Amino acid sequence: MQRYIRLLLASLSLALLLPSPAIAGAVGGAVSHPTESTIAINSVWVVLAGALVFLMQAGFAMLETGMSRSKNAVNIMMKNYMDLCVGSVLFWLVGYGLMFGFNPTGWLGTDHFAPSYGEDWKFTLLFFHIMFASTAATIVSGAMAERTNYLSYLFGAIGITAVIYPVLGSWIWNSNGWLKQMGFIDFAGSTVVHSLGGWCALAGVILLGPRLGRFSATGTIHQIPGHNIGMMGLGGFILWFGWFGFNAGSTLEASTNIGLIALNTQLSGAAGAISALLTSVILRKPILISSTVNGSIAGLVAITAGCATMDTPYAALTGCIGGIISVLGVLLLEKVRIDDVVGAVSVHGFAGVWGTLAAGMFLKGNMFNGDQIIVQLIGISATFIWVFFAALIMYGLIKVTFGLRVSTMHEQRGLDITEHGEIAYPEFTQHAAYKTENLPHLQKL
Amino acid sequence: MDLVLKRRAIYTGLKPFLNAAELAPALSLWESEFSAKPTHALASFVTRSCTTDDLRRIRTQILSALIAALEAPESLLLSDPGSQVGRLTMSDANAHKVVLDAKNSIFIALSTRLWTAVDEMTEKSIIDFILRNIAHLKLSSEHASNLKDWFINRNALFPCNFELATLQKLINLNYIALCEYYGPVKADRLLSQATHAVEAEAMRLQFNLHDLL
Repeated sequence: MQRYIRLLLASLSLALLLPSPAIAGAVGGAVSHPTESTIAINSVWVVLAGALVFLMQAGFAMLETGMSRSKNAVNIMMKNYMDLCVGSVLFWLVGYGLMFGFNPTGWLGTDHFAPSYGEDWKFTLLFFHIMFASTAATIVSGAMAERTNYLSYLFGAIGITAVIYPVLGSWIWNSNGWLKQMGFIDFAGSTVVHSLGGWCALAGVILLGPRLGRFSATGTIHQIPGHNIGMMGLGGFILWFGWFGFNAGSTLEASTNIGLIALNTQLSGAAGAISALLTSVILRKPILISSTVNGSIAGLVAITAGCATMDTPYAALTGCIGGIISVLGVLLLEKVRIDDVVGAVSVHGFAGVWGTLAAGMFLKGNMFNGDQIIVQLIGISATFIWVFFAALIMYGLIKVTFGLRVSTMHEQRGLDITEHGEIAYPEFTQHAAYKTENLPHLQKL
Repeated sequence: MDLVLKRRAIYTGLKPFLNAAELAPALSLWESEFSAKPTHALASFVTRSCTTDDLRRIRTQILSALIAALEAPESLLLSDPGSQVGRLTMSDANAHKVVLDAKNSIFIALSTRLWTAVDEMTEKSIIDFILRNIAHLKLSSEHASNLKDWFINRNALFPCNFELATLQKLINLNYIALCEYYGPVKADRLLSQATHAVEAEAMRLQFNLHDLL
């Protein structure tokens, strides 16, 4: 009897997650006349995918925390935790309307702010896009780690999710958006989410300046290794797992190409890690787990734009080049004395640009079409100009009003103590200058 | 090089070797007879200034110190002692002993620990870094000058009892300099080691060491 129940449950699950050709046909017609069951199936898939994207926040939090020093671990966790929270509320209140509201000019949505009633499907989409907005915001936290004022960082996250991200999204993902009308391809957000995060991070770290001692006046580059390699690696795995929801969920329906999208995502991520590793070998650099994990993430970022419109070998190639870019990008930023703690600018910004370009170059059935490539370049450039300068102005305003960077005394103590009043590993800090028992006696800064 | 700057250099060079009673006549001699002469005349100045056997034995050292001081950047020179012509002894502000409170004593102990943990070159660089940033502490000119002198000649008596906030900033300047020369990871380790080393002394003086951190 139990065997039959298990079979029945398995069949039901399969019917929901892998619809038969007949159901898929119904999904295909979802745009014009979606039936209730089609909407239900699509909702199951999109909500599940949204939950996977939510898990990416955990991945980012672990990766960034692992790559930072232990005295700033609480701070990074808190930044990731809270940018998700403020991002969710702000995107619901303002962002969704700006991004997907009625957009007569092609530049900005004008309604659907703080939606509270409507069709069920609209809430499914809102839930999914809240996760995307939060992902865009959280990319910045790793780059600006270890020296940013906590509340100022959260103000930045609000600006990104309420204004910078939705405005760009309205150009690219709103059906009336000017870039969408031009035929710009960014299926799941190499540009909308990842390049945006990378450029915001670049503006932030330029205004912040490097951590104390990262680049000395004598020209020495001091490496500041992360405190928890295991957390870093596990963060990479979790991010990768969440990416299947990020890319395959962007179909916004339980369609038949989910498998291809997931496969392209997997191969690109894998190729990115391999190429990053080989690049390190060729450059005679140590094969670090940080650069390998970053290589895989760069591969995942790169395939995000074209994961649904690219043949599998090109997906692998896209990821491979993404991995190389991630390693070279980190070296380039070091050369110009920009301190990006986790390599976010390189992994999300540079690899996002490459992925968006690759989506145009390797477009299935229309490879190397010059017109498409020009459209992609226009989208990439417009994104950089809007996002980088908007973020520069936003962080600049925060800097002159609340202050963006903490004092050197904060950096000495570590942000866990000065911003949160707690120590991440109280049992394991017996040899540190600051222990839990010292906290009540420290002078207020 | 103007007279005041030259006098500061001569004073900086002589101070580690001569006591207050010997310094004033030596500076007076230099000012009246040697201040306008070229550097090679310093050998004769040193010969005439070394009036005891002990000093005569270290004449070469004194001469080297004077030449080094004349070539050193202005920021590393002690403040001007003023004209000593005709004086028998120097009115040295540092000569009277200051009774240091616990926080200042622990500050000296902690700073010294930090400096002894690094090599001589780095120690000099750290001190130079602190001297360049003393202006940011917003001290009175007298206090700033006395503190500067102490950083240059750390064997001298600590000039006075400074406020806790000033001492905290000085430790932070030390930390920033350590980050600059060794990187933040080693700077954290050195700060932690120095803290542990002076913990017992702080407890003995019933002072909370972490008030300085």
